[in-house]
Amino acid sequence: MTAAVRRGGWAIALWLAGLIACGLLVERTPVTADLSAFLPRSPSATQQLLVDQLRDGVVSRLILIAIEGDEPDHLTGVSRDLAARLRGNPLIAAVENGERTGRGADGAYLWTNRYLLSPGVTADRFTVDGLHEALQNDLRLLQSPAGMALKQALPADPTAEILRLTDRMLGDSTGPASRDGVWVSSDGARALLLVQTTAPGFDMDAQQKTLDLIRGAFDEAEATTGPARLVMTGPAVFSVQTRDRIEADATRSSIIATLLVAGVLLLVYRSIRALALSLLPAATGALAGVAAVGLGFGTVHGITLGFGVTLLGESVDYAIYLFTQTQPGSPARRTLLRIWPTLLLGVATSVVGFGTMLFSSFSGLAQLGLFSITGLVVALAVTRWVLPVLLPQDYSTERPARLAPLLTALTRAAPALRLPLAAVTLLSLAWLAYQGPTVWSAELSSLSPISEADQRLDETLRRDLGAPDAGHLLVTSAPTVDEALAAAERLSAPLEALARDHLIAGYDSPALVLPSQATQRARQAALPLPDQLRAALTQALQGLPFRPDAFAPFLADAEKARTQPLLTPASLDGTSLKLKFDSLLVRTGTGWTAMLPLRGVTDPQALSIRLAGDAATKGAVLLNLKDESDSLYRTYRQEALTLAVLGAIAITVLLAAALRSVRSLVAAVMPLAAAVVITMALLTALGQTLTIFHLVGLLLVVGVGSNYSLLFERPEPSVALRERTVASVAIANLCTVIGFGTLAFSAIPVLHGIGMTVAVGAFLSLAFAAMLSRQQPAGAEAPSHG
Amino acid sequence: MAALLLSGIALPAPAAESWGLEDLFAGFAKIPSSNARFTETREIGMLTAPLESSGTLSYRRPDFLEKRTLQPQPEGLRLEGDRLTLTQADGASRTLSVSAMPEIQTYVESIRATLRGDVPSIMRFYEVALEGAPQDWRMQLTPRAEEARKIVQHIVIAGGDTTIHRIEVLQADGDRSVMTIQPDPA
Repeated sequence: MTAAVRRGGWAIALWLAGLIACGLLVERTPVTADLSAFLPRSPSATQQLLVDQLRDGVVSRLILIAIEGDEPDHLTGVSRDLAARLRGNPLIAAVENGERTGRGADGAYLWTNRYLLSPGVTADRFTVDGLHEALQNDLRLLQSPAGMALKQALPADPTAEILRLTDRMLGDSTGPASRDGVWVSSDGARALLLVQTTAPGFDMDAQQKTLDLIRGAFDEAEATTGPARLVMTGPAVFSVQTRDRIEADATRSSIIATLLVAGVLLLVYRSIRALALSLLPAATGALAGVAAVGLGFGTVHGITLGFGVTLLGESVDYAIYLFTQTQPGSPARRTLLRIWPTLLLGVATSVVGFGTMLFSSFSGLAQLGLFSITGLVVALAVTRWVLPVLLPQDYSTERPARLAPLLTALTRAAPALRLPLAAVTLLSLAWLAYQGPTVWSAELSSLSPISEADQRLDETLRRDLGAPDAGHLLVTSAPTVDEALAAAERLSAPLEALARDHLIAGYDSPALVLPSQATQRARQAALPLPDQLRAALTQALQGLPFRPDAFAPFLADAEKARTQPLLTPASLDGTSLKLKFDSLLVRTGTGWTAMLPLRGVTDPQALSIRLAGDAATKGAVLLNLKDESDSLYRTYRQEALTLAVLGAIAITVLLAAALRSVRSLVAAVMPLAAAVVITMALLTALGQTLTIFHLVGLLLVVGVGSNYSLLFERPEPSVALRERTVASVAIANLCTVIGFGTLAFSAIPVLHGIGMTVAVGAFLSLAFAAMLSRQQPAGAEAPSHG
Repeated sequence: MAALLLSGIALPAPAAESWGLEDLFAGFAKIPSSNARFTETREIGMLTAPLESSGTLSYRRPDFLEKRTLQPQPEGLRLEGDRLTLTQADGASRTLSVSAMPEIQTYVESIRATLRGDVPSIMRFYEVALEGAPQDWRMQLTPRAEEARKIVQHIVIAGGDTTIHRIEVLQADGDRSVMTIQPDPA
């Protein structure tokens, strides 16, 4: 007895130490809501590029802002005011609202370095003939309708290099509409701004700070007046929102679930102490799970947390089995010895099921797996070694009198439903087969925790802004920055040809902002020495009505350009072009990758055929981001599906090994299989497309459900014990359904989907386990299983 | 509202005490379309001689305006809503959003808003000073936007009844253009 007590003391001490350690670990583990946690550690370079783009690409740093709900003239005023307040803040890389910042840093960079940047700078351009032709053009320009507006640059730029550059920057100028020089939506109801953050998209805290900054600036801009509202969308906005929502939902679900479960248990046990003790394994398990994920991954994803809350549903079962099946006059230890093999087998099946997820290349799935396994094992250990010590010596629960007759009657009547069940199962199978692969969502966006209303708003703003769709990229890599730029330059000629043939509307390239060193040197070499240039210009002016000294600024600027140091990435500092450059030229592995976004791709197929047939584009890869990300997702869904099937097989093998009887095995597996099939059919019939998360939910159903069918299958020594078993399973099931049911009310589609899946699936598992259980006469001899 | 503002700006014309911008523009607003020929002289500081050009103008309610230069070389400026298309002699064309190019907007809106008889628009872009009588009036427009004022000092539109005879643009750098307009008999 003393030995037992001492053992118990050790168990408590170990448990407390573990709690403290886990608490410390959890304290240091940051929560992320970054969807890319559910992206793979990718094998292929292009996929890695895609993942990087989603995590940290220029797109992930965009905040789209609309100001609405006021007079148009007032909106444009607020837009200017807000932009002015934001510009120059270290958190903000660029603010665009349509205002011409031509005299700003970008304009200055283009203007000052026009002779190194413009592809028009060739030796021919600065001969007598070339200059004469340029001057004739200038004359025409002065005469043209827009001449009065475009003439300011001519004295310093007679060859009109700056026009060439700005034309190219403007592209086909399908920008948004404007009013008073500020962007507005096409109906004029909103003023529009585009903000790029300095922080990468996945840096949630910095993004949160940036959003707060914008709200504060807007309130100050608005302080004097009234009704204008600020609306923001974009990846950063969504991820911050999602993090907050997931945290809120997880917190809310766990509070509601805990309260409800506690209520149920209080009704059953009529004892606060027993209630607290039953929640102990679940709470410890959840804490250990978060700590394990923190140790293994460095961060814990919000979705893992939300999911983990519901683990409460399964791990609270162990304590329920223990307490409910403890009869008066026999200590809880005896009960433990009796149900231990079954519990162990139940947990083992769950662990095997979730274990397959550890092998997933999605870190998110692996997180869920690790969390679930750790949580369940710890909860079981606490149930086995800590609870008996904390229980009062003569603890037992009342015979669950009010429940028992009803439940027993139900279980007796249940087998009558076997035929209908078989029919429904077959029907569900047929329905799933009829739908084929369409029951699975094929898009990465299906994992997105963003509500549909928000997605619609985002699309509206994007349309209004005419934001380029980052649909197609031409990607080329090289060992150094300069070589990557040179590689990008080599793609220019074929791309120009594609634009002429209207296969693309236009393209962008990091080399447009910063040409390679060789190209810059060639352009410097094309500029004549000062005396030669002056002589050529004087001759070129013959017969034209320009004043002889009109182009003095040009001579000075050309000489400056001829001898200026070459441009490097550092030359872009302080401009918004820097951001563009950094987003189009990224470090990948040991080298550098240049990305050339293509605009207005009408026929992707024809485009890829043309590119494949062109020797000049050898080594460049055409990347269709949407297709690529969806195929990536399909790959991983396939992987998850494979893992789930392997998990199911492993569970079956485990059960077969433990039960050592085909009949018992069939009885244990059939209810689970039927529950999974019917749940899937039900969900798709309700209009949900299944995602990886539903798959995880189904795994959980198998994990929880196996406990039910195992307990139902157990031969019980007496009618009273059989009653208790049935009652304990029913209560456990109710708690699971409550736990996951609360998730079904989450605003996050993913959590909602999982909640539904498990709540429905778990309930069905129990019902089917009852229907398919072999009625055992009380006290019948049956093979015991170890 | 605009009338209130105007009463402070418009000099009362001796001929008709009550005649003002509203009345002038009400006349323009009735006209569905018009065509005219123009000759234009530009005095530019860079050049030793003024530039001459000529061509046709056409307007259709509410916001179509086209200026086709025929001499010395064919060129076009075509304005439809917010889209401005510039066509060069060699056929190359460039499309811009007018509202994104304030310096060009300053020119085109002065003519377009007048032809449309759109008082709120003209008041939004310019301070308006109207003088003269219905048969012989002169309207001086000073851009409100600071950005536009850096380029255009003011625009003077002169005419009689609902016909524009002359548009003069004085730029901030001293360059000037004068456009003389004859109604097209066509």
